[in-house]
Amino acid sequence: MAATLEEHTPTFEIERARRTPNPLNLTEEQLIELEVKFDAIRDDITAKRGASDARYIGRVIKAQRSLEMVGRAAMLFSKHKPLWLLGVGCLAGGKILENMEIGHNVLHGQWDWMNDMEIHSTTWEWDFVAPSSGWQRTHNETHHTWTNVVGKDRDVGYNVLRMDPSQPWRPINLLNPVINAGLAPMFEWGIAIYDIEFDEYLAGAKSKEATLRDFKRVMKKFGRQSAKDFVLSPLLASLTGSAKSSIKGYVAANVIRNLWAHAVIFCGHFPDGAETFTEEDIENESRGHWYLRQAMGSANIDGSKAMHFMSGNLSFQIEHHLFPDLPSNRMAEIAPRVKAICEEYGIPYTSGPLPKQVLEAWRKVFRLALP
Amino acid sequence: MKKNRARKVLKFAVSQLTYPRDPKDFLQVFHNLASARYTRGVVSRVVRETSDTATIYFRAGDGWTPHVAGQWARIGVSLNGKRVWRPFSISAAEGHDPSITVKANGEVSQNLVHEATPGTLLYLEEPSGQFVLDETPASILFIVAGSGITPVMSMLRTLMPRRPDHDVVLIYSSRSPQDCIFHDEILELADQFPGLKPKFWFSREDGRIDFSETGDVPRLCPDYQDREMYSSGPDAFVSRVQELAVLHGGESRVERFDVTRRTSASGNGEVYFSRSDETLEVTGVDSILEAAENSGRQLPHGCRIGICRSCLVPMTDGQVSDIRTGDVTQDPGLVQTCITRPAPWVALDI
Repeated sequence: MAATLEEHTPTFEIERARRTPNPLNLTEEQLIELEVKFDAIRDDITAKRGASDARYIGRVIKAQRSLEMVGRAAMLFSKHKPLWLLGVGCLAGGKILENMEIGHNVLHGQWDWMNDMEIHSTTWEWDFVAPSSGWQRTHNETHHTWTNVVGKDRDVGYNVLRMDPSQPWRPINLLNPVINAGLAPMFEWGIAIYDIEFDEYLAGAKSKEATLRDFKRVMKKFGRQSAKDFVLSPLLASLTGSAKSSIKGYVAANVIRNLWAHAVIFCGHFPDGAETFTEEDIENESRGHWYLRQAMGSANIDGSKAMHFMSGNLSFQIEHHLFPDLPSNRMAEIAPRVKAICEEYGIPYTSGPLPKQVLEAWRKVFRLALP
Repeated sequence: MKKNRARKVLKFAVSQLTYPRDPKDFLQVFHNLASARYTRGVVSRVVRETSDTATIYFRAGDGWTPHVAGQWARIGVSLNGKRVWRPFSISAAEGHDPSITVKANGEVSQNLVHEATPGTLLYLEEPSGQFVLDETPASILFIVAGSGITPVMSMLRTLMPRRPDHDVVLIYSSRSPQDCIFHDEILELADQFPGLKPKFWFSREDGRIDFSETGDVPRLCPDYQDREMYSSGPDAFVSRVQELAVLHGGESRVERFDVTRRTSASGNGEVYFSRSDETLEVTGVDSILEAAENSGRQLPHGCRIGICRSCLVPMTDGQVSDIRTGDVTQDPGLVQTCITRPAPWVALDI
């Protein structure tokens, strides 16, 4: 059953020769060992998670809601510059926490084990234009299952960017940098549109009804989200003469969140060293091979505890992709163990500081704009 | 009416600003009884009753309805971070702040007895249950064992002050005076209201109650046949009371605190969970629910003794047997996972 890696080609080799044999060449026995070792980490954390983890997510949620309330209150008086700054800071921080350390991870089911419907993947709706249900489908199902398999994982370029040399070049790709620069500040709308899967509809893979339903869902949420931040809140702020400054503040907070989320997410799979795969690579894929692909296809960000926290622990992208439903607060703890296993088997463990990873992702955007 | 509408309008307005969260999600930061999805409760007082029993008083938030004497409620607690629900009989008198009296014999009850302190958060479902008093009962006989006293205590506390002329006999079996929950309070009640005649039975000294027609019940309460009978306690105990009542063409209202189970003659069985495409082995002593929980799965559940039907799950193929009677069911339909086991294989749509 276990597939070999002979067919696999690392990204950096692609320009040279598509058929370069994989440098890892793990044997079937090694893939089974890999499976056993990674499963052991999962079992260990599953057995350990408990009251302290529950307290952790409870505290984060409380902090996030407090930040948001302070931010919204400050925005009511945002004609005063210090309050405007305070409001934007709290709102941006609150939205980032809500979307990443809380929303993304709750929607992955990382906290479902608590059996608490207030913090559950089936009930959570996040403060993001893309509705939870559609995002869970494109992200949890498509991206996490088919990670970096070109042609299967639509996250490789999100249909608008050419992010892998094996994707055929088209003249539109000349606009790669422009599109990405436009996507960054508008990230939440980009994801919302992406989740409707218009391309799948055009390709005949998604029914008209399903597409229309998803489109309506997005428009409805888009309406309510916009009404909240850009109409109702400024209207209330107008009572203190802060309407204009409040609109600016909400735009600023949303854009800051979008820029940050875009930066972190582009560091997940696009820096140098994160590999892509072909559909042949994953034929008859065993669980060991799946782990291998997740580790090779992802890239971590090195940094402070605060950076990990604000990135929703997506800076531990490798660990997150190996164990998408283990609680995020445990990622830092398992990272050294994952790294040790990767080193033992010669699996590249791609990691670097934020500026370097962002730069590499952008370099790829520019480089692949050309054939 | 007007106030209600104003509240609704206000809630609608606020929820536009808190979208996609409920306003209560934000209120929760200041007020831990607030919740968008649950009725919460906060422990206000814990009273030790015996070495392994405690009464836990709590304040309930929005959504709680006052209980009727004798009812129980499903209560959720966090057990090492995980929400677990069990039913508990309410011991407080009708119209008073709710309390449950808990004997530590499972992981949830142990947690409540030993860990609950003022401020502990509880999750509540509405009180329910048919073990309640009739509108105008002439004379009553309660026969209870152990923690089976809890719903009856609520009845006595409610009934006696309301109708001091009531003629009530209470036969209450417990292991020893030290294990007898509410022993002193019952004596005080009897002192205050002569209509209440408690008969304590201590099985360590007196042995088991003889439920035959010429046994202990007629001796303790000669006119038992003319009384409304209520029995509460372990299944084996209340079943004997019921048999005695039936002998005289009557019946006893019963509240069971556990389930008497047979072990499966066929030994182990298997459950197939069709949605996750997984198979689970179930030993001859476990119910499907217990086996699933032991394997880390979460299935809906309530009373765990086959009463409340909150554990219903669709069976699509195979068959199950009832752990109490051994009866086998094979028609596709809903099965109660808390009192069934595979016989020897069943497919559940979950």
